[in-house]
Amino acid sequence: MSMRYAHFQPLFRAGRLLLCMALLSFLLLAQTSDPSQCAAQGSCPVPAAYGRQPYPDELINAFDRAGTNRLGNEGPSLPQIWKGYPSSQARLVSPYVPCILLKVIGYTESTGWKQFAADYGRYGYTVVSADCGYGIMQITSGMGGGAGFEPGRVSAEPAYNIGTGARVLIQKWNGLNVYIGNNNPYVVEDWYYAVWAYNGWGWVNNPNRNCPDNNPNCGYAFNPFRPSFNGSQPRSWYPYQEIIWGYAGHPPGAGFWEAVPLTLPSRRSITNPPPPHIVTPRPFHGSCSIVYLPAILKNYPR
Amino acid sequence: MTPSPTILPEPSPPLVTVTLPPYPPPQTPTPLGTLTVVPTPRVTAAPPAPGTPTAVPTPSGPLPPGLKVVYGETDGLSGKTTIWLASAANPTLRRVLATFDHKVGYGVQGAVSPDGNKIVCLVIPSDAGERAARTTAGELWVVDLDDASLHRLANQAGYLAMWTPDSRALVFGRLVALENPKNPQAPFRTELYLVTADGAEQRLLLVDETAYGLQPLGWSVDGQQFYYAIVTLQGQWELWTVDRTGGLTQFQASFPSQYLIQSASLSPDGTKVLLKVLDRGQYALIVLRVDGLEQKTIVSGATGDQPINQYAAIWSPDDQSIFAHIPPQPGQPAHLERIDLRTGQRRVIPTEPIGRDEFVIPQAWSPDGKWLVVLKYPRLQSLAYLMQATGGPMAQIPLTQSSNWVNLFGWTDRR
Repeated sequence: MSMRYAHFQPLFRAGRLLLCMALLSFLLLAQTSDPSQCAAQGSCPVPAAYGRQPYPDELINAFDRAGTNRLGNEGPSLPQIWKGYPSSQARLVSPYVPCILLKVIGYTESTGWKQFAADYGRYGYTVVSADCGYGIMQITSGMGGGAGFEPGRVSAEPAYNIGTGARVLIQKWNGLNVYIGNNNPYVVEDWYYAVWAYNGWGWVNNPNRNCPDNNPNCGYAFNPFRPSFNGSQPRSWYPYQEIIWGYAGHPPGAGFWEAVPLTLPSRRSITNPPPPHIVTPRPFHGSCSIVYLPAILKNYPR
Repeated sequence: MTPSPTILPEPSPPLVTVTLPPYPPPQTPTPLGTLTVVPTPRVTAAPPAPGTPTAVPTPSGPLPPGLKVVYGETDGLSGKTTIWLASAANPTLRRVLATFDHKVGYGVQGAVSPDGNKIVCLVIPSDAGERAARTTAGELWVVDLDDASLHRLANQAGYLAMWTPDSRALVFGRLVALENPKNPQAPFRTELYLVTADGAEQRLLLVDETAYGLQPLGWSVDGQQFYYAIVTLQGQWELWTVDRTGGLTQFQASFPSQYLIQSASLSPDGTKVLLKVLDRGQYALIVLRVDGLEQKTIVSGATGDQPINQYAAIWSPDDQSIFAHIPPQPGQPAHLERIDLRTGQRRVIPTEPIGRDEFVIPQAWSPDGKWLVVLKYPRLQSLAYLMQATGGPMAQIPLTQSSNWVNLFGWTDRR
């Protein structure tokens, strides 16, 4: 089963990397120039990289800067984001993703903000899921290239990976034709639909996709009696976006983020399919520090 | 008899209150030489190969005669689930059937075959991504209850399997992301497969990429038709069947369109569907014949946004009753009721006193009609109880650690 693969993944990947390097050398010597042949050696489009797994406090700035488009050369370019509702009154503004969402999604996707399969401060290979999700934000789409970011850097660089997660979230936000409140990206609660889409839009995460026999373990639907997610319950009981909202208010430890008790829309307001517009759930929240300190100025204990 | 204070949509017979019987109930004397103590949960002496389900031998012998529950106990932090077989009469008598390592944050779902001989388990591998864990990443394993042997049945499963009535095959499903969905609201294709219990044959039963959602419901009593509901892109629920042999689909009925339907549950004999609906802000339970020609409101009137305000109901094994959580109403706290569908008679089922913010919801009714499993809110993930269907004391289904999750798979008389 999978953990068998998970445990031996680094070895496999190391071997695969060596094989790829050897093949690439051969191809270069043979004056062919198709490095994609190398990537095609594995089942995923980009090889795992080898790198140091940062401690959580080393990553907080990257999350804050990614959300406010301040990663510079450390991240991909972010597209502008639509702001305003109705759509006829919307306009494109500077990219922005609430930092709390980036942090919580990163934690949910790669428990503990893991870019590499190694303990904090140690070295290992990129965390790559069985369905080819890469690193902290588990980037899947666009890893074959041509999506406006560099797949190799998604695999190798934690900050770039986080920035790509921000890019994907903005694309989800811009791509949906359903809206919350004034469609204001600075209001975290307005991101409910976009976060839903980050994992899978449609029925798969509809909060009213209830278990038919009130059996919370029925496996293809959610527990209709689920209390708010606080990190202690099975994830399969919850739509993805409710997990993100729940973790935001219940951080898994002191080193990740300050609790932000985000407000969910009433489940009853989300129909099948969901309505094109619902009001912003209240109280609503903002996110991201106005001022951040560069990592070099932080007094990290390690 | 105490007159019912509940207002019903239709005239109903009086509410009956029953006195509490003792728990555990009188038991058949345990034959000499059989297990009489709780086996301490064991640490596997040698760690199993990572991710490999491990059938744990049972050196301590079989459990006493009588009905058993099969359940999973999951350590949510480590991603490890132990499958237990426990006596319904005294669930502290239990033994391990198998263990699984899997993705952290997810449990193992399972279902006991109708003949009680096998369990099918849906296991999410450790390296599955969050999206795949909800759509296609599952592995199906079958555990034989006689010798605890197990074999892998299928990969890329997203839905828990449903056994055929003859226990010879089961249905599972998956959600496959579409490259270019015709409608952005339906970005996944649903696939249902029929696979024999030995894994020898697997057949695609159904593919649907037009519906907003698809919900498997269960088999007709002869095992020839599989019922499922689709939710259209307009939000309409429709009942369909797919033929076991030919994969032919057939429309059966539309569910009442005036309601927001929240769940649908097929009766054990496959002739009726129990719907939980929201009707202009009020919850209701409705029973609909599968041909759509007859519909009856069982109970209605509950309102509110909190979980306690919703109805919850399960079918009796003989299809004649439902067992329901009734939300609180003025002068009447939340409680359990057994509702006879033929006569409309409602009977309050007494439970042990529970805390102010707690309530219990029914989860499963044993095939012999004698036992119930109920869950206690808000720690539904850990607090499951066995009680007699007539009410009374509740025995918690035991967990090795109180923070672990409990996950009922079903019932069997195997020892």
